[in-house]
This record gives sequence, structure tokens and C-alpha cells, in this order.
Amino acid sequence: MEKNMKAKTVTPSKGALIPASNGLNPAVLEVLKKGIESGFFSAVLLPVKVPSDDSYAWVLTSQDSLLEKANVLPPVMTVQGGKALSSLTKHGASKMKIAAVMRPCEIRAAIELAKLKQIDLENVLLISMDCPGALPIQNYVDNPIEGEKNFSDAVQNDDVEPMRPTCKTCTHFSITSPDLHIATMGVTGDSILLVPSSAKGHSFLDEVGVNVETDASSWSSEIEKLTEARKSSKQKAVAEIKEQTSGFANFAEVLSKCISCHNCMSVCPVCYCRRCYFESDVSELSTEQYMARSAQKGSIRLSQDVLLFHLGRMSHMTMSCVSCGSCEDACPVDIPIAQIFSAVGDDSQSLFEYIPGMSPDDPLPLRIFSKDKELCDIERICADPLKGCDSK
Amino acid sequence: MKKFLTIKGDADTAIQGLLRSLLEKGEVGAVFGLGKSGDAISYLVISDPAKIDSLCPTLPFMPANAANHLSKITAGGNLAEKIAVVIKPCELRGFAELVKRESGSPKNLLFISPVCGGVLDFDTFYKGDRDKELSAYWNDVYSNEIPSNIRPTCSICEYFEPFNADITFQPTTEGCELYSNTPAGVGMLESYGEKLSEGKLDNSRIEKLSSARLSNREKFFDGLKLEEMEIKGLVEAFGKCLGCHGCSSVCPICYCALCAFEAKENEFKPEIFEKELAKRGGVRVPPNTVFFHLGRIAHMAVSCVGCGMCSDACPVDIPVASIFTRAGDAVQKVFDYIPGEKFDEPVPLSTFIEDELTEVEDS
Amino acid sequence: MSENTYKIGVYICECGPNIADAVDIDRVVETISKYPDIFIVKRHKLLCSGPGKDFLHEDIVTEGLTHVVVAACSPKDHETTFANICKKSGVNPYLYQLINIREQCAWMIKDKEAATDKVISYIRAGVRRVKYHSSLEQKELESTPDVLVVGGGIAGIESALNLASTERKVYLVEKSGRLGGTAGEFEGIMPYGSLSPEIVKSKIADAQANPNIEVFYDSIVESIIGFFGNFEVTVVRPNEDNIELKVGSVVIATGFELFDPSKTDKYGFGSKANVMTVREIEMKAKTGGVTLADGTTPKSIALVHCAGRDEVGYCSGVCCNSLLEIADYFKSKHPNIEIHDVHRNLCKTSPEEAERISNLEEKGVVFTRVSDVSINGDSSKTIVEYTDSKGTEKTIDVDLAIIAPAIIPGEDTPQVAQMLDLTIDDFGFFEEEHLMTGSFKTSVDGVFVTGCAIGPKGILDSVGQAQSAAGNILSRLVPGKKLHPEVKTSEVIESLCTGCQTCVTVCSYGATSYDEIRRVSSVNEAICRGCGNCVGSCPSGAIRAKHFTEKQLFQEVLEAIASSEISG
Repeated sequence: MEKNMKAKTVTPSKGALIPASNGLNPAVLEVLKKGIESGFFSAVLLPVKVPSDDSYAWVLTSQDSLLEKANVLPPVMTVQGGKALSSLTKHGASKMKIAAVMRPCEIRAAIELAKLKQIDLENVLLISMDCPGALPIQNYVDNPIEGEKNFSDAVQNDDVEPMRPTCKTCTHFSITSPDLHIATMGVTGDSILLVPSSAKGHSFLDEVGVNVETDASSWSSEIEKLTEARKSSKQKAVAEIKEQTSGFANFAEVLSKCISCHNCMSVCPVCYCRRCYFESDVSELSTEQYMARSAQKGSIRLSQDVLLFHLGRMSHMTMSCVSCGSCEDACPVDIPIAQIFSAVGDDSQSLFEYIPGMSPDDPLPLRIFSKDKELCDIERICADPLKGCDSK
Repeated sequence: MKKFLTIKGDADTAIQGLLRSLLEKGEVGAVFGLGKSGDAISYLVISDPAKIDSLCPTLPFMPANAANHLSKITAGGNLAEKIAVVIKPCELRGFAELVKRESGSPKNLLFISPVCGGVLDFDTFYKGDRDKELSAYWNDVYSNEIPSNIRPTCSICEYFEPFNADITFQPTTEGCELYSNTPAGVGMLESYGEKLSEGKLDNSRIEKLSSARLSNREKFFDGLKLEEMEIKGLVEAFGKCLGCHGCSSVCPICYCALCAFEAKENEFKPEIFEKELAKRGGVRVPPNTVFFHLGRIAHMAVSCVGCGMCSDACPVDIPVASIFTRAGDAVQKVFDYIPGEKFDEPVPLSTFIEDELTEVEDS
Repeated sequence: MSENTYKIGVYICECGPNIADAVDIDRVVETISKYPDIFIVKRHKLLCSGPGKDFLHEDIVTEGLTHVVVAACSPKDHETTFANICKKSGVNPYLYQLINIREQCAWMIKDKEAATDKVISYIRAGVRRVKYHSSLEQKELESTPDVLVVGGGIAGIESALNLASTERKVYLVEKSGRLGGTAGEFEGIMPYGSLSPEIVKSKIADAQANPNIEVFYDSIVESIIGFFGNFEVTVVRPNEDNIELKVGSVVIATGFELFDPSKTDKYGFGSKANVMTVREIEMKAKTGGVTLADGTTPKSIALVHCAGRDEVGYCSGVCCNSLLEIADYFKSKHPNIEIHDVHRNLCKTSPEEAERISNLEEKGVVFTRVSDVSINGDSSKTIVEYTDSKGTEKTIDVDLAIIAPAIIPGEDTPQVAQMLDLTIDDFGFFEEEHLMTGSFKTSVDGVFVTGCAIGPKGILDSVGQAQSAAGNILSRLVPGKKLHPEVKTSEVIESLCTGCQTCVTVCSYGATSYDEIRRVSSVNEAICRGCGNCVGSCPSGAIRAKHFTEKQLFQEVLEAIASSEISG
């Protein structure tokens, strides 16, 4: 069995200052191009505008013509980046070195998937950036031009209101566990700060001839400030959603519109099963069961077992939920599913003091067994009743 | 000439009355139909006559294609008691297509289906002013106009009069007309206790609606220009696709336990991506966005009933239903096949008639 | 087989008055007979009796049943009994379900109506479950009866002697150049108990002379892979190629070390004072006598118990008596020698020891109970300082202090544990699977541990435990008999497996592993014990437990709930 060792993450103190007078995207693309030229990586995985100009898609490319249409921080999150990276390396590490540029929650999802052996990070350089959030996709696809404008306005004015509900209260919008992080918040002047946080990240910056000598404290203190503010708005939001769903009747009511399309599960980066347990023959009901339930209750609604699906999915994945909000974007009947799963995710993760995706060395809590040091207040029986509980 | 019953008053109440009576008299063991479940609209299976008043049989809404629910309930083919099933014509057709694929059984089901004016799409129903929209809808229906707030595929639907229904019903401004098509249908109406009349469905209404729909369909298909949509056009049409496969989940015809496009065979080793990258300079990840849709068309278009669930389920508003209905229409015309018209007509792709498609064969 | 050709027979056993008096069997039969999926329902006074079994057998054959449901006692009692009847009657023994209506219904529900209701619901649930059963076949594995014993100490030797026969070869691998281990070193004063040095010597000689025991000296075991009945062992020998052995079972008897008193200042070890361990006394006694550094014989000695007990955290049990033996030795050689025995507790594990203590007291040995003790001094005198039971601090000056160090795990314990994926307890000894139900067993089926490798004990106990471990092997690994691995193992549905390896991390037996090429997990059916941990851990249900598939369990529970809510 895996041993329980929690790694501690330390925010790096220095970065490389890069001019970005034309904005974040051109500056980053320039660095990426240098990376390709130097041969540090052969291609980049990043969002590129689709030919119909109304969305973005993940494209692995080294070609200028495609990089010109790329946007490292697009207004929307179409496919969750972790999911995209997993389709690339699910069946083995790429022999070719690549860089993947994604939002922090997408990086965190990728790291969780790496622990589940669905991603092989061996030849991948992970690059993230300070994230202002993402627009709900319905607010973009019907009028992309307006969507682009709304997003850039919101970013400029530090306005989270137009963003996904889970983005508005996100407390992990900055550096997580990438190789390289692009700091923008609290970085003065028309510049961005490239902050390496691993040996790979450092060698990359070396390779492209960029010096890591700028003090990053103005950035890290800005992030700290923003995180604190988000923590309190998150508390409020969580309290609200918990009240909305408190008790079985309310919870059932919030989920009453569910048509069991399972889009939420399909787009979730952490739901990695090829066939969901709740779509398998185990969960099928027989004719007699349908009729018996109807006879017993007088009237049953279809689909049956809607709550079972959601609660079951919760029990399987909340330990790794990164609150990206893709599920809520995909729901055709506008159930606040991300807000619910995010709140439950935070609670279950805190039971084990676990933050998904923060470090590849943190083992998945449900896979390790820590005999005496865990869940004592729930178990109430310590290994040595004479010694008493010595955890925490 | 058919036996029919006219019930005055609110159409929903009228049909509820019939169903309640069937349940109370034990003619059926349960009733399946659209109804209120809390604040939501879902399909219900009702065994208690006291709960019949939650049914909304004429509500122009389809939260899910009922064929999927019926398929789950009747899989195994051993339904022991009769169920009166109130569903829309395309749902009934979809169910027939599933029955042909051993994914359901019509045994002991009694079908009650309307002459359908179409259903409101999800956005209209969930986000619009529902009362206003419904009122506009019924106004249009009663004036034989195609409502403007229904699913695009509804506005071009040719088979809005149900096949295989034991009872066809038509809401009117004064109530509801129920026509029996089969002895079982007659039995249901007769058991209600009221005297039946003989007559025909008002064909003039249906004909007017039919010609409006057909001309709409022609225009719609012309506008779609699917024939000219080559790979470039498909890539544009499906550019926003997230690969969520919601369209497939809600489709009444997609019945596979594990979709071929979700199976291991569709997951690629990194070498494949590297090859594509080298060949074309860039590769979209996850792969097979357009391939999934083309594959799904190849697998199910012959049975596509044009219900439009797929477009409603799509999170990025791709007009999936329009494309699939158009493709379906083309395939079905080749075989002169109307999906769901008969329970016992085999699906064309699983039959081999020697003297067929000679125009595309070499010899 | 389509459902139409199922013929399910339900047999209700009255179990004499046990079930018949507590349950209205007439009502059960009447109600159950109405269900369409049940072909016949019969009752019998006592199905497990001779006539009962005959009846069952004949009935299954006559009625041409395909599935059998028996409602009777606990599966622990008669699951196998009726399974064998099914086999005899041509029904696969896994297309059968035994429902416990005795312990779980008749014996615990006083109200007859309520008990009857429960019986009906249980039978319905069981019938529903059995419809989803699959035929399973018992596999047979070839195995080799030979055994590897790691460690040539007294426990290893005893295991080898008990196991070796013309049909079973024992390979005894010893890292030093001689057999006997620590027990073999003690020829003067030790060993404890009735096992005199002569007996130890003769056991060593027997082992060396036994043609069915092959001893490897100065050798170590480098790797052991495989599973019970079929292990492949690599032994590294000096000046020769490695040798590959095939064995069916392994006994780990790697013994112990003694606590090193120089690790702490408390015992004056390493200082100029005259302090010796029990082992050193033993060596000196062998070679002529105990003398001090300056060559003189000690006139006064202090025997200090519990050296290292605080440091290791446990009492080693046998050292008290070894010090008493030393007291006896000195008193017999030098009747006037002054002996002080300073102890925290005095372990008297037999009446003989209590007698020995009173004899020593008569000879003038002073026994003092203390709460703590330390030794220091220089070349001229050895000072023992202690706090007595009244709390007074005292000192004694002696010529020689003798300490008995604690027994600690052998130094190669961690390496051996890692090689076999065995667990170690908090003190560093090999851990048995379970104190009561799994003595000498480890989590690796077929690998046993015995002797001091699992904890401090004397020679007598080591020998006894070695015999027990050998007994386990003698009964399970019979020469010529095939092994029957667990039938109800897990299996992977490869098309659904995403290779996340969660099942691999939770398997306590190492039965699941990851296939790098096919990129799926796979189950070694020879090792799998059917515990189901992997099944519970897989979120997609890509690994399932035979005979306990989720479909079977789900359907059983659903029927039990449904039929209990809708009465009748």
C-alpha cells in the first residue's frame, strides 16, 4: 500500500520578468516559440480558435499559422485541459517533448489524472497562469464577439461577476504545481513574470535564455490578498448552496430537472472511467422493479435513481474535484451542479487535509490506510485506548 | 371510419379522466406519461389513480425522449400488466426502432399519442416566460400555423400523426378528441363509459399542417446545404463540439451499452498523435470530433426520427438535430423507409435484398 | 440458457423443530409456490441427514432442476454439504444458494408471523440472486511439496526436521557457516529449560545427516517469487553460481539479535567498568571461566535485569531466567561469591523458576526490586546505582555487573520483509497475519514465520512454534495432491479497465498487478483470496468478484427490500 506522505508546497520567491506591452497572449506565445526553436519541446498543447471562430479547441502544434490563432487564456474553457492532456498520454508517455499551457484548475486536474495513471507527465512541461475565471460557455458561443469583449473587460476591471459560479469563489487561481507559472496579478508595468517551480521549469527558462532574478513578492502578496478575499466570498456561496440543498427534499428538488443525460460526468476531467458504474448493467432496474416501485409509491418519476447517480459520482470523485465548473457549463437544464460538487469536494478533501493537484507526491487519500492517524473522531476507537489519540 | 370520443373542457383534464378511469377499473395497471414532479416536468409511471392529476398529456415539452424510458422499463419483454402510455409520435416511432433492436418490447403497452404540434425547446421552456410561450404556442396550433418557439426539427416534421397508436388524440379549443385505431383503443374508450361516435380525424387540419410542414422542410433542407458540406463544412459546423456525447445520451436510437467512440479502440497511443502532428502540423485533442458525429450518423441516421433532443442537450448550441435529421432523411429515402412506422419492419441496414441499390453497384 | 429454461427448485429444511416450530412453513410453501420463476418448492425434516441428502439428490435429478435454493441453516454449517449434492446431481455447485433461515430468522425472531414474513422475503431474494449466478469451475494447480527454510537456527532446524521426508525435500539456507543459531552458541550455562546443549547438538546433527534436508551455508536468499505451491527461489552461494529452487512453501526463521548496550550510557558499557552481557559470560564460561579484565575472578557481582527494555519498549521475557542461571553457575563455582540481583520485575514463567529463586535466596543472593538502575564506574570498581521500591537512592559497588540485553529483531528482517512484501510490527519483528486466527501465517499465502523472528521467546517455545508452522505446511501441501485455489476470485473486464491501478494499490495479497503492454490490470487467480477489496475500490466496476458480482448482490438486496415492504 502507498505510504501517506503529504508534500508541502512552497511558493517560489523569484521569477523572470518579460515585457508584455501587447498583452499576455503575444508575450507568452513568443516564449513558447522560443521553446520550440530551442528544441526544449517539439510542440505546444494550447487553445486555438476554431475555423468557425465561435469557440476554442485544444490543439497540439508547432506551426506558426496555428499559433497565430492561439489564445493561452481564452474567455471560455471548452474541453477541460486535464481531459485533453489525458487523451494524449493515456496510453503512454509521448516520446516527443511537449508544453501544455492551461488554467490552474486544468493543471490540478492533470495532476490528479497522473496519479490515476491516465496521464503520463514524463515529457510534458506544464505551464499555468493567474486565472481570472472563465465565462459560462452559453454566454460565449451564441455571440463570440460580444463574449470576447465581455471577458477582456472583466479581466481589465478585476470583475468576476460574468464568470462561472465556481470561478467567482475560486481560491486556487494562481500557482499550483506546474513546471512554470505565468504571473500577471500584482506584476507592475506592462510585464509578466515567469515563475519556475520545478527543475524542468528552471531548465526551460535557462534554455530560452531568460534570467530568473526578479523578486516575486509583489505578486505573491497580491495573490495572498486576493485569495483571502475569495475565501470569504466562497464561504458565503457555499453556505447559500448548502441551504438550497439542505435536507433530502430540498436536494431532490434542486436535482428535479435532471434528465440523466450525464453530460456533467462526460465533461468532468476526473471522471475517467470508460463506462460509468451508474450506466452499467448493475444499475439497471428490471420491469418488475419499475412496476413494484410505482405500485408502492403510487407514482414514480423517470429517470429513477437520479440522486443515486449524483451521490454515487460524488462519492467516487469529490476527493479529486478541482471545482473547474465544466459540469455546470454542460448541464442542459441549468442545475447548479458545480457549486454542489465543489462544496462537497471541499468538505471531503478537508477531512484528509488534501488539496487535489497541488503536488504529484500527495497520494490519493482513499488509496492509503493510515491506521492511527486518521478519522479518529469518526472512528472513536484509537489503536491504543490507554495511550489515547495522538493524531493532530 | 373510426370510433371516437369528444370530451369537453380542458384537454389535459379530459385525458386525465380517461386514464384515471382505466386505472380505477383495473383495465391498466399503470399509466406512463409526461407530468409534474415537484417543480419539474418529467415522465411518470402512475399506479395510484389519485395521482393522475399530475399528468400533463398535452404539454408541448419533451425533457427526454420517452422511447429511452420505455425501453428500460420493457427490456426483457415480460411486462405482466398493461400500461397506458401517453407519448408524442416521434417518441413512439423511436420506441419502435428500439424494439427492432431488441431494446424494448411493446407487449402489454397501450399507446395514446397526439397529433403533434411540436415541442418547445429547452431554452424557451426553462428560461422564457413559460405561460406566455405556451399561450403563443396554442394560439398558433389552433390557427394551423407552425409555432415559432418550437424545436427546428418539429417545424419540419412530416410524421406528426402517430403510427401504431391505439388512440390518437387531438386537443381542440373546446376539449379533446380521441380516436381509436385498434380494438384495444376501442376497448379503452368504451370502458370510459361514455357513448362513442364514429367519424374521421379532421383531415383538412392535418393536411394544411402537413403541407406547411413539408414546404418548411424543403426550405430548411435547402438552406442547410448538407450536400455541399464537405469536411471543411463539417469541421465548421462541429467546431465547438466538446465531445460530451450528450447528443448520443439523449438520442432514442443510440442504444449501445458502450459507444464505439468511447471504447478503448478509440483511444490512441501517443505515436498516432505524433504522426498526425508531423503530417499536418497540428492535431486537435481530444481527437475524432467530427469522426464521432459521422460515425453516429452512419450508425443511426437510418432510424433518426427527428425528435430534436440532441440539439437541446448540446451545451454549445450546435444544430445537431438539423444535420442529423437531414442526413437521416437522405438515408431513409434511399430505402423508402419510415423509421418507426411498423414494429415488425426490419431496419434496412440489417437486411439484404439482392435486387437493391443496383444504381450504385458496378455490375 | 434463457430464462424460460430455468428450473429453480426451492428446498425448505425444517431442521427438526428448530425451524419448524418458529416458522409457519406451510405459509412459506404456499406463498413461495405462487411465484412464477420457481419451479418446485419442497420441504424436508432434516436435509443434512443421510435420508435428507438422498432425497435432495434424487429430487434434483428427477425434476431436472437447473438451479437449487436451499433454505436451512448457516452456510458455515452446510453450504458445502448441499453444494456436493448439487455436484453429484449434475448441477454446477455455484448455481446453488443456501439461505440461512435458522440463525437469521427462526432463532432470533420470537414472533412466528414476523419470522415467517422474513423467511419468505429471504427466499425470494435468494431465488432472485441465484438466477444471476454463473457456473464456476474449480481449478487445480500442480504444486511442489518441497519447502524452503530461511535461517538455520533452532526454529529453522526444527521446522526442517518436521517437514523433511522422502516425498518432501527441505532446503535450509543459513547465512553463517554453522547451524544452530544463537541457541547453538550457548553451551555452558544455557539453554533454558529441559533442552540441554546436548539436545541442541543432536538436532543439528540430525539435520545435517538427513538426506532430505539440503543445507546451504554462507548463503542468502536473493528473491522469492510466485505463489503458494509454486515459488521460485534464488539462493546466492559463496564461490558458486546462484541456484534456482522450486518450492511450495517458505518458512522464515531468521531469528534475532541482542540489543547493543553501548547504544546508551546507562549500562556503563564501553566505559572502563567491568560490565558484561549474558552472551559474553556464556562465551567465557565455555573457555575456562569468567575473569575480569585484570585476570582475577570477581568476588561480587550484580545481575542487572531489563537492559534495553525501555529503549525497545517491551519485555523480552526469557532474560530474567538467564540471569538466574548465571547466578546458579557462579554460586556453584564460587559458593561465597556476593551476588546482588537488581530487577524491575522478575519474570517467573514456571514453578521451577520460583523454586530456583528461593534456592538462590537461601544461598545468599540478594534480590532487590528497583524502579530504575544505571551502571558506571572505572577499572577499579563497578558501581550500580538504583532507586529502590521505597524511593531511596542506593548504590552497590561490585567487581562485575552482568546485564541481559533485550531480544531485538534480526538485522536482515527489513530486507527479507521487503523481498516478500511481508509486514513488520511496531517493534520491527515479522508480523503474523492474526494473533489468534493466523498464527505463523503472513499475508503471503504459503509463507510462514516462526521462532524469534516474530518476537522474543525461549528455545522451548521456538521449537514448539517451529513444529506448528511445519504442521501448517504438512496439512496443506500434501505431496502428490493438487492445490485448489480460490474459485470465487476477482476478474478484470478489460474493455472497461482504464489502468488506473487503484485495485493494485488496495490488494493486501499482491494478487492484482498491472500489465504494461495491455495497459490493464490483471488478477492472479492462484493468489487471489476473493476478499473483494479491489471490487469495492474500482469506480467503474471494471473488476468484479465471481459469485459476488454487483448485479447478483444488487438484485438480492432489491428483492429483499421490495418483498419486505410489499408484504406477502
